[in-house]
Amino acid sequence: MTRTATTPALYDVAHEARRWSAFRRNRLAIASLVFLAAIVAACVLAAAWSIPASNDQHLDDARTPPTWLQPLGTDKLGRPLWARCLLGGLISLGVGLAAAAISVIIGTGWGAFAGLTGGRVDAIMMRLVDILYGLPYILLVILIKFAFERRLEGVFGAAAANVIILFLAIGAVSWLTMARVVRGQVLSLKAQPFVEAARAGGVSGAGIFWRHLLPNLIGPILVYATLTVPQAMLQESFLSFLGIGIHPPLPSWGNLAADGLEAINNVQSAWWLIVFPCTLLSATLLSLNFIGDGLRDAFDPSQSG
Amino acid sequence: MIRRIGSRLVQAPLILWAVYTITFVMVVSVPGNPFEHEGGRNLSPVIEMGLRQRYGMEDNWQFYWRYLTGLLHGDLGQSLHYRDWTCNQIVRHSLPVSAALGSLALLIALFAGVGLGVIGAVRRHTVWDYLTLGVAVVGISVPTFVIGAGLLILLAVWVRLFPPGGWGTPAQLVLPAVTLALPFMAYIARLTRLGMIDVLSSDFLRTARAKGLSESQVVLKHALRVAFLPVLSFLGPAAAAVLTGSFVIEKVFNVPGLGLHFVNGVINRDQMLILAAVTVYAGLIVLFNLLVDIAYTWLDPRISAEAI
Repeated sequence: MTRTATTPALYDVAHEARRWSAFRRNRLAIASLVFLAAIVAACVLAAAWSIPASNDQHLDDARTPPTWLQPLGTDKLGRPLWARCLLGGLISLGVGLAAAAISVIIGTGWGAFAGLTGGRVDAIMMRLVDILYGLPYILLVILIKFAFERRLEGVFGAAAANVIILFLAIGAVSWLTMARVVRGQVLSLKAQPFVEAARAGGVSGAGIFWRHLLPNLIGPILVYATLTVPQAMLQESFLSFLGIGIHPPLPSWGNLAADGLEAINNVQSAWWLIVFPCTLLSATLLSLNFIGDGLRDAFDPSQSG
Repeated sequence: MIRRIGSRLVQAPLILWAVYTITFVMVVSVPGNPFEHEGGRNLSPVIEMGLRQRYGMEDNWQFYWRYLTGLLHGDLGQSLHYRDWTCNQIVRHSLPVSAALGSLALLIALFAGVGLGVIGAVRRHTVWDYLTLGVAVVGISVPTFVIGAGLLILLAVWVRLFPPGGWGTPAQLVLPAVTLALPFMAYIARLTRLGMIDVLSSDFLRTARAKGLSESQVVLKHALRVAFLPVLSFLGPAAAAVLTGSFVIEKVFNVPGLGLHFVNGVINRDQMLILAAVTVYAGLIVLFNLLVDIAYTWLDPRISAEAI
């Protein structure tokens, strides 16, 4: 059937505008957004220089403190830390974003299917989510990575396989909250008159989902996707810190921090090796969380505190 | 209430079996040979077959059933990497370390988190409240290894108040436990604060105040009991996360716990140790969730009323 106007009943331009202005008034969130944009821009724009420089070893200049020539100092192999931090940031942010995207796809699909189908299927699917919630996801990430990395190496090469399996594994376990949120929204939307009207008009289940439910789900999905990015980055940094995430010589903020911690002892402390990666990682995660909280306060007032 | 706990008791072995099977499939699907060392020479097929026979790993089906029956008898298998250790011995040495660290961290998180949350809710929009929110945001965002490294440099390298790592004395327990506790404390503080703000304006508290109870009695006896419920249901997943969160802490502070062994097991492709560690973790987590369920029905009058 053809439809001339596809205006979902809940969509309201004035309401939407009010939400954005509520977000814009949140100074902490806006400051975080500016900071994050600067970090992302630096990591992306400098990639052309940071990629070759990040593995450029000068053993004579190992562990030089920050100077004008080496603004962040050098590591134990004399590689410039600025390049390693920027490339590490690119990798950490990229893994976080890709993992969040995967978790959005799985979580939305799972939650929407459970909510739309209802009944016994819904109960079983959500009970499974409950059980998975209770299990330590980091174990699962490690196992997935362990099981599939070598298979991917044959297809993509070692470095690419390392990054790809990491975001696939993290994305595959971090969709649980998304599934719960989407299911809840679908359940409440399903009871709305406009969905009933569409069904009475003969729109198929898939059509109802794509044209009527999805536009109304974008808000909560966006909010929880923003909150998933720092979670995914946190997991990547944990794994890289433990030596089972991003493998050297490829840098990530997590494995740079691990290298930095190794360089701390009572005899000589190369403080820059730990301070810079840790500060960048923490500040980025903080700002992502502030942005996510700001979006949640503006778009989903029932969840704010 | 009994039905609810009964159904969980039936589910528990099923969950454990599922976790074991999934782990097993992942462990054996890794291409390559678990007996070959990094950069070592290739094993001749005869030697490899002999080694596989010794560990009961001739083919996957046999390995699966033999390990499963071993588990039912409490046998976690023989480590492939640490040739003269059984996994039972490794677990027996390292689990108490992780458990001590984890339970201390959970206690710190519980008391400090609930305390901060209550203060934040009662003194809303004051410095105390903002302090609670600040701690909560930092605790949730900043990775524990960053906080751990900071504490290590500050209190162990510069000031030398605490030993920088290792295990055995109470002083060595302080820094890792506090670091491990922080994210959970942050989350508990947030949950408690939200729950308290909700409860403090409810009708039954007005009644409690009207009958002349002091404000501290109202808050601590009546409001906290309700506001604590979301915290309690968080404790199950939190216990799981504390166990695995300690991987990182164990590395920062060089604590010889089970997490470090699991990570090394993955790096060394020690299939037996991975299976053993995951099974032990899953068992502990299922047990903990069960305890939380029981505590929940006991604390929340609504759930037990439903069952009558």
